[in-house]
Amino acid sequence: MYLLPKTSFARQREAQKARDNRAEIVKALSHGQITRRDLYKWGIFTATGTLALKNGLSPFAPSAFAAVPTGTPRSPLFNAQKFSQPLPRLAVQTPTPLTRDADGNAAFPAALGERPAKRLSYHTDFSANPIDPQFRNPVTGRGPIEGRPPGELFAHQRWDEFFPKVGYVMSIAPVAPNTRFHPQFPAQNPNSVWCYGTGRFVNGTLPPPLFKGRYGEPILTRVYQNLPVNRVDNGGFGRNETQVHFHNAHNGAESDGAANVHHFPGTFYDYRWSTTLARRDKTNTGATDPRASGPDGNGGLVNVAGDFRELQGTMWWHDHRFFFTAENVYKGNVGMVNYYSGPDRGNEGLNDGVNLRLPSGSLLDSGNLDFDVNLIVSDAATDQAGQLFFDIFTTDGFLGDIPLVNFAYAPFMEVLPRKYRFRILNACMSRFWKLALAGPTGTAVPFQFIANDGNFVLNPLTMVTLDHQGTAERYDIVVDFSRVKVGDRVRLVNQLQMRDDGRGPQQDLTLAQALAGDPNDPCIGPIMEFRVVGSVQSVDDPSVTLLSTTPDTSVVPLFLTQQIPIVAPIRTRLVEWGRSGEGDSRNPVTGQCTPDCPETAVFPWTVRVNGQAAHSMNANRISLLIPKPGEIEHWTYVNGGGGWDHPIHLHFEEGVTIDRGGDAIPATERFVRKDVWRLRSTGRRTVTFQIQFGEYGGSYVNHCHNTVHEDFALLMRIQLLTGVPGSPQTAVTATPNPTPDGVVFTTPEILPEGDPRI
Amino acid sequence: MKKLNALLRLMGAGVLGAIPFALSGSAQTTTTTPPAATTAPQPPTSATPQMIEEAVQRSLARSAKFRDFGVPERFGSEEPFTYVPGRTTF
Repeated sequence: MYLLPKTSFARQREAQKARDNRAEIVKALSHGQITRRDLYKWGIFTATGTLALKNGLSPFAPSAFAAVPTGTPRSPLFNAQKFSQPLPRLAVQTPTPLTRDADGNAAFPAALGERPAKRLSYHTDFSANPIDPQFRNPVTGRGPIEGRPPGELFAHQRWDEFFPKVGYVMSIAPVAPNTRFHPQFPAQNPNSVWCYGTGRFVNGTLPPPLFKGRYGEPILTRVYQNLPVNRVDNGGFGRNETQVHFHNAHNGAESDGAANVHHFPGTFYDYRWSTTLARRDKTNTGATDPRASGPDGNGGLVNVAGDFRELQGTMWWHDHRFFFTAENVYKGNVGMVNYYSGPDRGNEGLNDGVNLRLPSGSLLDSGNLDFDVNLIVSDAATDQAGQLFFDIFTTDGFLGDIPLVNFAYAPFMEVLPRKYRFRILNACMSRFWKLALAGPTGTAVPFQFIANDGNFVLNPLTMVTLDHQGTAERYDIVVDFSRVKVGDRVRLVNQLQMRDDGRGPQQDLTLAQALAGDPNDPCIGPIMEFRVVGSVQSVDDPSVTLLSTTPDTSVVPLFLTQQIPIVAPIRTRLVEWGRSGEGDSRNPVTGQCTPDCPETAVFPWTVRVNGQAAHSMNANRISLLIPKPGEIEHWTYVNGGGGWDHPIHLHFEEGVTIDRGGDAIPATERFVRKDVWRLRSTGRRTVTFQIQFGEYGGSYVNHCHNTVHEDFALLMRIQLLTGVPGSPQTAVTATPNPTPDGVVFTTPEILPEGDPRI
Repeated sequence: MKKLNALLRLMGAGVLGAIPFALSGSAQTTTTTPPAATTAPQPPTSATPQMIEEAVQRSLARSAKFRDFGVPERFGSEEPFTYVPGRTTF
C-alpha cells in the first residue's frame, strides 16, 4: 500500500491528496459538521459501508497515473538511520506499599495524597451523594470521580483474600514534550501519542511502563484519565475514553478492563490485579506445593494455592475501549507486566530446587532485568510532518511502515557474550512478524523458545526462526550471544511479507531475502541490532558494571513445567469468526451501538456460535455463557474463510491447544497453554483447545486481536457464572453503560445457543 | 470545511448541507433489551463433530472461491453452500 521512495512526484501528490481528503472527512465528522448519513448520500460510503473506491479518496482506487492502486505516502524518516539509537528499556515502575486501614480499605502512604482504594467503587458513594464534591469528577464537575461502576456487581471480588499489598498510581495522558521515536524525528504533538505517566494527572512518557508482579502480592493499579476533555482534541484519531485490559491475567471482571467499563477524562479507575494462580479452589488448595509460589523479597518464597502448571510470566496491558481499541492501543495505551514466581524468579543465581534460574541477573532478590529484556515490537506510520498517523477507514487491517521496538525506531542494544532472555510482544494492530536472528555473516543464530503467551513450554525448543507471531502474542526466547564474539553484531530480522491490505501473512522469506530488505515494506529485514561488547552498565543496579569475563550462571533446564492432561470435555463449543450475516452492532431503531461507536463504523466482521446466526459486537449481548466453575470444555474456532488471518484472543483463561483440524501443530503451541490463537487462512483454518474457568466471574470477551477487526466488530461477550458462592458473579450480571454522568445498567440479551443452562 | 466542500465537488456529491451532528458518545440509555422471545426450537448448546466439519467445509469453500476467482467472502450475505459429509477438498 505504501508508495516506493522512487515513485513519481505526481503519484505521491495524488496519494497525499487522497489521504488528506480522508482526514478532512474524519475531522468534519468529529466536529459535527456532517453525519454518516451524509457520507452515504454523497456516495463517499458504499451501501456495504465501506469507503468508495474513488480516485482522490481511497488508497485502493486506481491511480490516475498508472494501472496500480493510488497507495499511501510513505512515512518520512528525516534521514534517520537504523541502529543509530540505543534501545530504551521499558520504564520499570516502583510499587508503593499499601496498608489496611480501619475501614478495611487499602491505604496509600499519606505523602502521596491519594484516597484509599476500596472494595466498592467511589461511584457507589457518588450515586448515594451526587452533590458531594469529593465524589464528583474534579475536572469536568460532571459524574462520579471513579469510573468503576457502582455497587456489588463491580466490587472487587475476593477483596480480603487478595487484599492489595502494593499500589501504582498512573495517568493515561497526552505525551510529554520532546518525545520522539528517534532523535532525528520531530517531537510528537501532545495529542499524537497518548500513553502512561507515573503519578496523578501527569503527562505520558515513552518507553511504556513495566510492572514487576509477584505471585502472592496483589496489586492495586489506579489509573487517572488525563486525556483532553474535548473529544475532537485527538490528533485525528483515538477516543478520550479508556479501559485497561490486563492481558491475560487471572482477575475479576471488574478489573479485566473489558466489561464495557471505559471511563472519562478527570476520573480514575482502581484495578485490583490479584496475582491469583488459576485453579486455587481446586488444586493445591492448601498451598503446600512450593512450585506454586512467589518471591518473598528476601530470597524465600510465599506459597499460594493453585496449579503451578498455570503460572504466567510475560503479560501486557492495553486499552480496550470497544470500537476504538485499535486507535487507542496504536496511540500508545500499552504497558507490560512480568509476573515472577518460584520457578520463574528472575534471579539466575539462586539455587533452591524450585527456581529454574533462567537468564535474568542476580543483583536483586527477584525480577532482575540485566539479562531479561522486554521487547515491544510494533509498526507505525506518520504523516509528512512526522506525527503519528492512522487511517480510520480501514476495516481489513492497518500496517505501518516504521518498525518500532519499545516505541523506538530500529534501535540497537549492547549485550555481553552470554545468555539473554527476551520477552517479545507483538503490539501491532494487524501486522504479524516472523523473527529470526542473523549473525555477522548473515547466517541464522539459533535460540531456545521457552514460553508462549507467558506460559512455559514443557521443554525448551531450539529454533532458528520463530513461528509467525500474531498481534498480542508473546514469545519468550533465550539467545546465547557467546556463540559470537565481542565486537560482532547480531540482527533481529523480520522474514514475513504481509499482504498489503493487512489481511494476513503473504509469504515467508528466507533469511537472506529478508536481510536484503523489501522496497515495498520497510518493516521487512533487520529491525533491531545487538552489539556484543565487553561490558555494560547494570539496569538493576546502575552503579555496577557487568563484564563479559563474569561467568554466566544462568540455566535453561530441560524441563520447564509439566503437562496438563487432556480429558473428555463436559461440552464442546464451536465459534466461527468471519463475515457472515449483516453485522448487527447498531440498534435498528436508534442506530446506536452499545457502547457508542464512530459515526463511520460499519461491521463487516461477525461471530457465529454452534452454527447459528452470526452477530457483530454488542456489549449488551451474551454470546457464550459458562454455567459453573471447573467444568472442562473443548472449544473449536473456525476461520470463516475468504482470505483473512485472525489472531483470536480469549480473556481471563488460557486454553491448551489440542488440534488444528489435522494440520500440523507447531511445536511451540502443541499442548501448550495460550490465550491467542492464529486462525489461518490456509490449511484447515481451525483450532481446538481445552479450557476451564474458575475463581472469578462476570462479563469478559473473546475477540480477534487484529484490533481493526475487533473494532469492526469481531468480538463477543462471554459471561462467566463462576464467581465464589454467594457472589453476584454466580448469576448473569447487568451491562454497565458508562456515560459522563455515571453508569446506567441494562439487562443483557443471551443467545440461546451459547447458554447451556437451558 | 472549505477543503471538505472541495472534496465533495471532486466526488460530484453536491453542496454540503448543514446537518446537525448526533453526538453518539453522550447518549445515555435507560432502556433494557429483553431476551429475544422465540418459539423456535432450542438451538444446540454443544457442538457436534458434524457441526464442526460443516463449519470447516464452509470456510474451505469460501477460501476456494477466493483462491479461484479472487473474490473474498462478501459482507452482508450468506453465500450458497452445501454441506457434504466427508468432503475434504475444494
